[in-house]
Amino acid sequence: MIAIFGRYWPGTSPLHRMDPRAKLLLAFFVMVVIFSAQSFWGLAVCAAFVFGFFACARIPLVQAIRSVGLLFFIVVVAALFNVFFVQGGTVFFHFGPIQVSEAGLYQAAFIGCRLSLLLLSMSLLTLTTTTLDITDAFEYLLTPFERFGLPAHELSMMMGIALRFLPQFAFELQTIHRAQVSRGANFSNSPWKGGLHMVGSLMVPLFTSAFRHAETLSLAMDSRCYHGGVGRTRLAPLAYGPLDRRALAVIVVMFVLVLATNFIPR
Amino acid sequence: MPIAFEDVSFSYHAPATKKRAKKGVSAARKGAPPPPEAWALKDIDFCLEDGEFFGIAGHTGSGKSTLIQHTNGLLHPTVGRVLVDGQDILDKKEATRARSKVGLVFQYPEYQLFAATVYDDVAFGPRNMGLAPDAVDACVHEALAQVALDFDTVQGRSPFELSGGQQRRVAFAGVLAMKPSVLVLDEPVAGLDPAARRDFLGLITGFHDEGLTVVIVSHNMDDLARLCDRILVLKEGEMLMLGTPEEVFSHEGALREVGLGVPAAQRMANSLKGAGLDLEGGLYDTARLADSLAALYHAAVR
Ligand SMILES: Nc1ncnc2c1ncn2[C@@H]1O[C@H](COP(=O)(O)OP(=O)(O)OP(=O)(O)O)[C@@H](O)[C@H]1O
Ligand SMILES: [Mg+2]
Repeated sequence: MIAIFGRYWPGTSPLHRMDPRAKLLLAFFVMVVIFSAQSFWGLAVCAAFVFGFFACARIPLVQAIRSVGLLFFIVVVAALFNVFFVQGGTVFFHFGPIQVSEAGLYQAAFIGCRLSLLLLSMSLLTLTTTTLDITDAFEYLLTPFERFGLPAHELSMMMGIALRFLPQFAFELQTIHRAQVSRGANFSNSPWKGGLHMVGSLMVPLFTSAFRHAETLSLAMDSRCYHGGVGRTRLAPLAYGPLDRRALAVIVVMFVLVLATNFIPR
Repeated sequence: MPIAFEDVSFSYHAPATKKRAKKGVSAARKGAPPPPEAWALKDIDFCLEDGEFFGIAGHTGSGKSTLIQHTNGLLHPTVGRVLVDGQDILDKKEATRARSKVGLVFQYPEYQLFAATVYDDVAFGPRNMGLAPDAVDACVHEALAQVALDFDTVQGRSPFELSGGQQRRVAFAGVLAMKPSVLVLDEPVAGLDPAARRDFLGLITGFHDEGLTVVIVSHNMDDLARLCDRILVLKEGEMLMLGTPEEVFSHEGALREVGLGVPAAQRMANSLKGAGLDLEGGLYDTARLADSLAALYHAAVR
């Protein structure tokens, strides 16, 4: 099996068994911790913890890196911006208005590492939590805002459906792609090369199929008397446990360590 | 234009990669073999002859769709070779050539329509082949005629306004417009009502009569028995049987075991034979069974 961002990696590790609400909140906390790291020392601490989490979830490192592979271009783009827009220190290279300096490179490397760690930790959340659990947690955490008119149940239902259909659409896109290749379409270099027609030959069938699915799905929900979240009960109610408290402790330790590294002079 | 499968095995977990494709078959044979249950196809070895009407049957997940995607190089064997016209289609150029010769119609092909007008959709294939506008025009005319659609009424309409059956005809035309010499159809009559089924099978028989080699995947044994020259039965990715309908349908037990049946008339003939009636061997359709039974009846009354 291959780990893909957003795919569930089955397992029974402590991370898999945690309450999804705690996991969602702690993942957010980890994000804050990573952002609070001001130097490479802090990032090193974060990296140690994030890779520790992966080990604890028993997900091989190769798969962990692979899972964020597709999103890595975000990291590269963000890093490149910094190379060109942050100036200071020794200038290594310049060409017209473009100038690469020491501060720029440092900043690019720093942002690159930070973003990679962020992506990895978000990927860990989806790898160890089923989509059903994520949407449940999401709904639960949004419930307080219902008082202000936020449709928490509907939002999480939409999120759940969207997540559920991603692999389905990926599969259908593959079939459509093969069908058009059979008709001589050539996407081998870039789907944009052959002009709008080529992209359309993939996207139009994909969208019509999305609408078709939406229609059947709403019919199916109607015929099962679905009427929104009001009055629904749960088969397996969520409950916080000692595992979640221990996880919180670990992350607090991580936070304190990262804050401490900010006092190490550069 | 024969298509030969030479000991083809295929696994979705270890597909032939581009790197392997460059190095050739010998490299594909190397590398860790996937676990046995991971094979979607295993040791497929047969040759599709010119002008044949070839049927493929098998239970759900037996690898029928996987097999037909090997005929035009959409999938490449993990082990073994597929030769189209004597050329290995692992080679990219040969695969491209095979795609203009082997027309592949996927299941529910109407879901792959995309263009603003029927004309543009049917013209997609010929245009991709780089034909000149008037040649494209001729192809579209001919293809729409082949699927019994009136050019002037449909050509300017959006394919999405048409009925499901008409949409499927347009999708067929889109493949026929490339003037293939082999037409491969994955469950072409799935989801149609009986009348539309008959129409489509009639169309397909027509393509065969015009000289096309036809490969058809179907779950309907009656259709296969009636139409095909040879039938291949797959079981969990392996060849269970290959032969004329008469040969294949004489093994009712083995077919039952993989969840397939035999044509209704044949089933009846088999059970009558089992009950001691003096019927000859061979394939029975309704007419032949009725004739034989009538003959037996007259002989008995006399
Ligand atoms: N894209 C894919 N990725 C991984 N495995 C696949 C893929 N497509 C098919 N398979 C597997 O390969 C095997 C053969 O599938 P295939 O679609 O060829 O069966 P089929 O005979 O066409 O079945 P059906 O009658 O349902 O259409 C199945 O076990 C299936 O799970
Ligand atoms: Mg199939």
